[in-house]
Amino acid sequence: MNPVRDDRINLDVNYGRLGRPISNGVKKYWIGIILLVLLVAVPVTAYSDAWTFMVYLDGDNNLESAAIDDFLEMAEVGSDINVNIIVQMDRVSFEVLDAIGQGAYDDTSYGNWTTTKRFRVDLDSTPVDSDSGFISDEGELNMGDPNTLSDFVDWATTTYPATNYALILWNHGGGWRDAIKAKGLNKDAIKAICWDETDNADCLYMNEVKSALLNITEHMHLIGFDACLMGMIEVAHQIYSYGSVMVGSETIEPNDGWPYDTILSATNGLVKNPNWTANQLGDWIVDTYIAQTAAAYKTQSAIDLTKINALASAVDSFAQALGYDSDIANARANVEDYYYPAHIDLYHFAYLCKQYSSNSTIDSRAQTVMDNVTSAVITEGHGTDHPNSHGLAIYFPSTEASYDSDYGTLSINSFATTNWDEFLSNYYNQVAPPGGDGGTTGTGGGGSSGGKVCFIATAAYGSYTDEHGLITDSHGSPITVLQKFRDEYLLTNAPGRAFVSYYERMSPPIARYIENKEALKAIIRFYLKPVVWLTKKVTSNPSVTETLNN
Amino acid sequence: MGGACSGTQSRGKVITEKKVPVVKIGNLKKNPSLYLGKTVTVKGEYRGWKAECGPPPVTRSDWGVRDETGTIYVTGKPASHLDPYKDIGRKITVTGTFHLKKNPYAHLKIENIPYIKAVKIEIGK
Repeated sequence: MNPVRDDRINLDVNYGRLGRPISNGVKKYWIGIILLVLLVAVPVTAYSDAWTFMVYLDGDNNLESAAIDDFLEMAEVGSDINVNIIVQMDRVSFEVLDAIGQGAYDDTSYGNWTTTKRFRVDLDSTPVDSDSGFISDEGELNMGDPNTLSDFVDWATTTYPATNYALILWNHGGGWRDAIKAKGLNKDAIKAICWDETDNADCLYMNEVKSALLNITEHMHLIGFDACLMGMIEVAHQIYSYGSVMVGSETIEPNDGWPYDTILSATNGLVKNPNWTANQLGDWIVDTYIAQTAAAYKTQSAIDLTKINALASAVDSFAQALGYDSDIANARANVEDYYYPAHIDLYHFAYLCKQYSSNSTIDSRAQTVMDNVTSAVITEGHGTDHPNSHGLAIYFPSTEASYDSDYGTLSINSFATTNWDEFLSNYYNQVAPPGGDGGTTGTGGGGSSGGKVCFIATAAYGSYTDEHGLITDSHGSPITVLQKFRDEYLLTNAPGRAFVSYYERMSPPIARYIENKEALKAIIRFYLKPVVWLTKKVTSNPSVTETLNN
Repeated sequence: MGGACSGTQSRGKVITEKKVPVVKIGNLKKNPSLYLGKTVTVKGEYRGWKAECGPPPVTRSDWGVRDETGTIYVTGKPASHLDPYKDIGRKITVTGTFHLKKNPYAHLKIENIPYIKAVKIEIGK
């Protein structure tokens, strides 16, 4: 017998941690424990999957048939051990349709149920209670209520934990739309998605989507809008803190929307590639949509949300160099626009400004916008109707008559932190660009007062910069901290809004005064330090703050 | 939105209204073969996403127009930004080509969905 081998056997098998020999009975006990742990742990870890793909499928409107079709597309693939396909589906009743004369067109298939149900979609599932994937009937839920959205996501992420989460909002979409005090409810009908016909056509405005995302526990790795007109910088800006990648279309979508059978495919889609990152999944969604949508008007893009803050900063700086002149009007007249003509392609507008203008400040800032769009857009595709699409639209009505003044209201549109709305106002009032038509320097108004709300702080720290003056995407810069405090604390109550309004009026002259006075800026930074510190403390309270990139 | 919705929007080929027949929607639906591919004008009220004629045939943003004989879908850019709920009831005149879309939903018992591909839209007060 080989003594060395004997020693090894003794070490491996016959001795416990303290060097005492282990009896056969104890060995069996430990092996039993290990097996038990394995029996429990293997399915649990297998179920803690790579992706949970959540679809908020709002068929409680005239898209009920399309909703059923997309459910069936998902069922052509079905969930597997790595990917959970989780659907919350709402349908519409005959009575609701009949009240608007559509009763004859009620889709009565699959039990003609009219409530809201949850499914983990299996292979060959159908949307009925007897299906293996059926989980629960939640009764009639208002899909236009942000609480309904956050409840669904929290339930899905708790029940089907995964490494990555995708949330798809499915329905009609309006991107940024004209303000009308919708349906007499004194709500701002802008940037909306997911209309629920049963619940008085309530819908999710983008600030409601933001509040729903703020209330959920998990970070969304991909937020998709299978809806029309959501591929806008204003939409991305509203949600960039809560997701990594956004997928949306600059213009309208065909009735059948995304090709879920291919997106999820077990041959070449997500189920085949559960190790995909959010960027890869976004890229795949865009590619499959463009490849399988015949319509010439098609557009779709995947956006890196971590780049949106930098892009907003570039647009802010660009906007400060703009105004009204013939070159800019020419750029506006020739820019790529979409179903709503007030939606234009951001990159193309910057490109045309650069082409037409001889103002060097406009030129350089337009190029910065173009570079930042290129950096933020992971993938983009379009049909022949929109040859100059680059992935992100922005709001720019050609006339003041169609401009919505609510666009500049921060509680409604977070992108109003930039000077884009000020530029639109200047454009309509025919205020020339600060550098003058044909000027070469364009210094006026440029770059010194970044985000308009934090005028003084921005002047002191520099636009979207960290304490060292570096441009940052992070959520930790003093300006971002103060903006976060404004958005989440001040703008949520009347006294806070009054303060913000007062501050917006009184601070620009001060910001201009300190603009070129470095010593004064240093003093202000010194006094702002405790304010920023305290604000950071308040906004980082996990019970009230958002979950950032976790 | 409000008053911003008034006015005319024209895209594509120029249409002289005199040459284009004003057709009742009921006639389009009863005799589709007579109008298929032809340019027609319908006058009625905007129905937004509450069109009484089934699912939208082409895009999720298709909207309806109704006269006293029926409702039909319209696809194409809206004049200004008509809200699909708020602006229901607005007077509207739509000129465009008439089409039939084969119902794509096996579970919905209709054969075709008629619609107008708009090239000109006029919105009244």
